[in-house]
Amino acid sequence: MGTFLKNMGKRLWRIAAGLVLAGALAATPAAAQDKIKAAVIFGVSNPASVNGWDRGHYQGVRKLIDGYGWDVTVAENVPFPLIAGTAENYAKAGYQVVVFTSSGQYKAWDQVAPNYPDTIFAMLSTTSTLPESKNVVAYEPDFFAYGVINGLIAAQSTQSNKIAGVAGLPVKAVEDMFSGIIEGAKAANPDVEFLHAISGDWTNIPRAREVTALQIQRGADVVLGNAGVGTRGILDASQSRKARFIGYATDWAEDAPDIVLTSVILGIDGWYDALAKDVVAGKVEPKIHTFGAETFKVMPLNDKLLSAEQIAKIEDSVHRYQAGETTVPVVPHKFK
Amino acid sequence: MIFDPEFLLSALRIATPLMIVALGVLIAERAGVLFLGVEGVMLCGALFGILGAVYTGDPWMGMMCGLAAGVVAGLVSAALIVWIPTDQVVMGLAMNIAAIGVTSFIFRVTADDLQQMSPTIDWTVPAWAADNAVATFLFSVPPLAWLAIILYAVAWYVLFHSAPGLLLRSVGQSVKAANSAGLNVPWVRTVALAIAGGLSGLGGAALTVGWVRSFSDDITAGRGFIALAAVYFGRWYPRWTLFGCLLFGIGEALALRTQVLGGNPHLYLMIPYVLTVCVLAFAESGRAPREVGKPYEGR
Repeated sequence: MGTFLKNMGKRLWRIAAGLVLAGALAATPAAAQDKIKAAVIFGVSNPASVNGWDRGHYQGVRKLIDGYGWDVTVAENVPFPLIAGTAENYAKAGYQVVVFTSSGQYKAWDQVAPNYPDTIFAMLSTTSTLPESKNVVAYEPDFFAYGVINGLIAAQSTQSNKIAGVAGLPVKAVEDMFSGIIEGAKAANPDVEFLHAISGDWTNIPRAREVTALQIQRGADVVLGNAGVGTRGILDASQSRKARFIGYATDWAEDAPDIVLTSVILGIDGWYDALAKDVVAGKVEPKIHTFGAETFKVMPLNDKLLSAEQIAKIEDSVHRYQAGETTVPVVPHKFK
Repeated sequence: MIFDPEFLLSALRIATPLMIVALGVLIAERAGVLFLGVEGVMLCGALFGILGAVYTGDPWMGMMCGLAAGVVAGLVSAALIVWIPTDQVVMGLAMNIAAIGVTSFIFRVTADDLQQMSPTIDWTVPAWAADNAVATFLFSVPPLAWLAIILYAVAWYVLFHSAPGLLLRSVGQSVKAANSAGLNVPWVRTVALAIAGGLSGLGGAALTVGWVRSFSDDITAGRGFIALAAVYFGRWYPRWTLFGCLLFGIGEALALRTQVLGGNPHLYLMIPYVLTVCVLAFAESGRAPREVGKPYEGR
């Protein structure tokens, strides 16, 4: 009898434990369901390690996870032909938001979005048009204005009156940025010449290094780079030839404190912030949200490379441009 | 601006990793092993080279780490394609694919440590040479380019003017004859693959530590295969292989520098590839060592 009661007691404990476990398991999906499921598609691998545009996006991803508690999946190193399929798979799997991180992913955005009306497809990069669908939205920077700020800084920092811009490919964002640099530099110092070069892709560090070395050899003493992974090569060439470097999109000061003049922060995490707020509020509508000059942040200028007077002058010109007190004409230039 | 001493230096910087890797391929193929996994071995050398340089703070230690990683990868190749032996083509391709995965994984684990650029190789023009244009140019040539040239001279001498070289070449020409002469074919090929792996790893480290001072996924971007093509172009002779590598370096440097002329940059970026195709099309066809690609099953 005693043994029977003992066994029954053990069984009851097991049943109780099982019920608690089942309850916990049942509760877990409900909690998970509250979280918004989002997928972010990157063309590069390991975006956190790629300083500049991709790390900026990764900071935005962290914001969605840490700031908004979203359940975010990151797809890395997705080649252009596979982007549509990847986005489609996320939509089929019930993801509520799919984020495209490059204007080169436009085709996939246009192709997939109309077929999955229950998923929001967001482009967080430059675009001038939207797919014909109600579930799309874009958050983009004004790259011309971004270039103007870079141009104002570069033109007032150069000693040779030559500044260089190196990019991976001459896409629209690059053309807008370089046009802005030319016009911004001209506004600050009409004698400045802008040299530009294209490394041919967004991943080739050696090529980016060599084309940058050439621009420095041509006399450029301030270098601006927008070549994805290749920007490391631009930084290396600048460092080895003692040219000054203006960081793109995120803070580059730690990478080469001896040559980085400053970094002009695009504030990509702010675009993710805006997306999250719109999604949570149910206010997503087919619209291109443009983030202008006032949203860009200039990191403290390097006082070891610039005099106090130069710093004050640069800060003043940038501040006046951001406040709309000075205007720079929008003149598009071609780099093909 | 396009053709000046800096153009030659740029071509040498581009060609240096290729030169070192191609020498490794040449040695492996002279021993009768198709070293198709060279791209993967180079990638391993590139990663471990930069890791060594960053963790020790010494670029030369980084080069040694790249070389050591290459030797290990070469010995793994030897275990698989000499001692088992498996199909050399399939195993070479498998090595390349595996290397991409392994290096990407290790890169992620160590990504925080690789945020900074690796230390530079301390190599400057001495004050006494600064006034002499020729001396300035010679001292501006990257030290690894000098090392590569010395290695080619040593390889040429050893391969064609020494007993070990004859032994290695005989294994690549006819295993039956080598066997009859009492040579241990698997061991000769194992040593050749260890040397080939070491050189390929060193070439990878020359890319990341000696040139761009950073690493990214698949940073070799087909350079191992270009080195392989240079060996075929060079008809398995050191001097012509060296010339093939330099030619590609010149083509690539030209492609990057002609952009100053204006126009579509993609047009110029085609130059090295068009040049390679033209040279291969017009080059005299050579005869590969007879045993290349054939598994040795005579044990």
